[in-house]
Amino acid sequence: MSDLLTIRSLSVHYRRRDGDVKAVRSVSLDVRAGETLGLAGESGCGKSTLAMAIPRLLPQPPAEYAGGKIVFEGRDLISLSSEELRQIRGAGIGVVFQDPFSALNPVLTVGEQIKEAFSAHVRPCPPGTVEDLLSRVRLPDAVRIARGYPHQLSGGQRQRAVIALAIALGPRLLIADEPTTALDVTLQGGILDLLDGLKKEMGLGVLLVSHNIGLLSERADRLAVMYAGEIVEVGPAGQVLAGAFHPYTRGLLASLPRLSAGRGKLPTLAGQPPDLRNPPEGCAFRARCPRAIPACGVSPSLGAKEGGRSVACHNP
Amino acid sequence: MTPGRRDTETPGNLKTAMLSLENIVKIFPVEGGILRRKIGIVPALKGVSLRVPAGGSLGIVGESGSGKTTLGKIVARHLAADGGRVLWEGRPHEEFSRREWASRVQMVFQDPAASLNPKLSLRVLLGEAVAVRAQIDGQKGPRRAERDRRLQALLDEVGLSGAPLDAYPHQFSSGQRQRLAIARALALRPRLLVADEPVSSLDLSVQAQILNLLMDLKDRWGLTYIVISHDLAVVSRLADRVAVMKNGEVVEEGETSAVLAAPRHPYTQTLLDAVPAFLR
Repeated sequence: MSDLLTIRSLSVHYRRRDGDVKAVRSVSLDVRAGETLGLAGESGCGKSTLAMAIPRLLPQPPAEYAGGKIVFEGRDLISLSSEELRQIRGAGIGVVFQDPFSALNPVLTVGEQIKEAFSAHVRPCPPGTVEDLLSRVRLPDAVRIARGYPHQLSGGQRQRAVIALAIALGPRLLIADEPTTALDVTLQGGILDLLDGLKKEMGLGVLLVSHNIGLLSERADRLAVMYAGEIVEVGPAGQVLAGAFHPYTRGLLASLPRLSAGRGKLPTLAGQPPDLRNPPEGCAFRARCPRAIPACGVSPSLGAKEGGRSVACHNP
Repeated sequence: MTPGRRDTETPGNLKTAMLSLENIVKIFPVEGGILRRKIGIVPALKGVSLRVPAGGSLGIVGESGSGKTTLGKIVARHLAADGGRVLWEGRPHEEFSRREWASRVQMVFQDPAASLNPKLSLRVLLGEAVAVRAQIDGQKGPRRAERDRRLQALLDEVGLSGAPLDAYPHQFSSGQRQRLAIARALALRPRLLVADEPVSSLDLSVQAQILNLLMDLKDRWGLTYIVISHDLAVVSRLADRVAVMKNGEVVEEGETSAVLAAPRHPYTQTLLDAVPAFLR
């Protein structure tokens, strides 16, 4: 499988008067065609910043690219002009956001928005395209939906409309940032099934960002775990979940309530993640880590292990 | 006991439950048109009966729309039922004033950011509840120094020792805010705590901390719990009995371990299947 997206040593900071927030710190990550890469992490770990940094959707300022490369289909997105980027967004990379309402224009019908996407890319939108797209995202009664405004759709329908927009121009990479978090639990499975289906039909690479490891366990081919702006572990999802290498991943997984475990206290991770205005020297997890050793004073790099796995830890 | 009829009820169950729900019905109107006229009704609860013994812990699971939150709000008297009876130690809830009920039943919600008034400092947020409890007990509200001491003790209870009483909710992380919401509920010294999705808006590593806190408080305060969640794994940690709700009805109820090991209703099996394999 070829790498569709190759991120190397990417750092993204937010400029703030009280000190720059180093939200993404020297991240290297690949997304391949036809796979779902799950990006897991807790609030503030930088996973959304990383996801939105790829199509350069972060407002600059306050965001600032502080180093590294984002290579999509052979081109470094950081060096592109805004016109070149505009062509890649939509046509190369589709984005699905957490909140489908704010991702849609409230004063245009769904059909008008899809047509607009084509005209923005100076592409013809033959008759029937809109209905075809809406049926591909399993929206029944496509004609009615196309004529509807976003507020007339339910939450699930809106997210499907956002996905229709995201795939309208035939992208190869789909970035989905918490695509089901704002939706009712009962609707989440359907949206994730849809993303799975599109991945297979279109051979998409999908970057699926979520705080929900349970969800990622069922949807991701590979899993990347982020902590304090860094990727601490990557590997095939099943293997990472069955036997994580990084103490943070292990601690997080151990703290999850399991059905079979019955009653009694859950193991917890002590302490708090570091302040990313002033990240610590060395491993960012060191202060909370039960396995910390003196070597952890030097930042560990993401080192390859067997089976396509890697971990950033001196003492896994 | 009449000969030939074996009474399987144990003496413990024959005693009056602390909280009993008998045939609770709740109907919501459906409004439509520009005049928001009532154009129909949705039965949210179709005759739910449940009993919670003192010191017990009842889990209520089901997906959104099953009626579980509506039921929790009726127990906490945030909503009135349209039919059926809510009994406290055998007495209908109407016999209790609002305050008397609040000193027995308190509720903790999913989103602590929404359930705590952002304009009130901890001193006011928690102090109000302490003052209400003092009134119920027929005492005067404590003086400032004494009140602050009690508020600090309350913060100790929820793992927020030393948090400044002049601080506001937004100065805390979401996990800490959930601790504050729990402290405010405890300030009324309730006997029953209704926790509605108490961890589902929190980060994973924080969820375990709050679940552990709820377990600790149950023991230390001798609390009785109703824990409402869509997540069977969460409920299995906290509840000794579980009721499974679907479309406004309880479809299965029993000891948590028994229900999880051998679900009788297909819907319970569906909920079990929804738990990711690596968490089963």
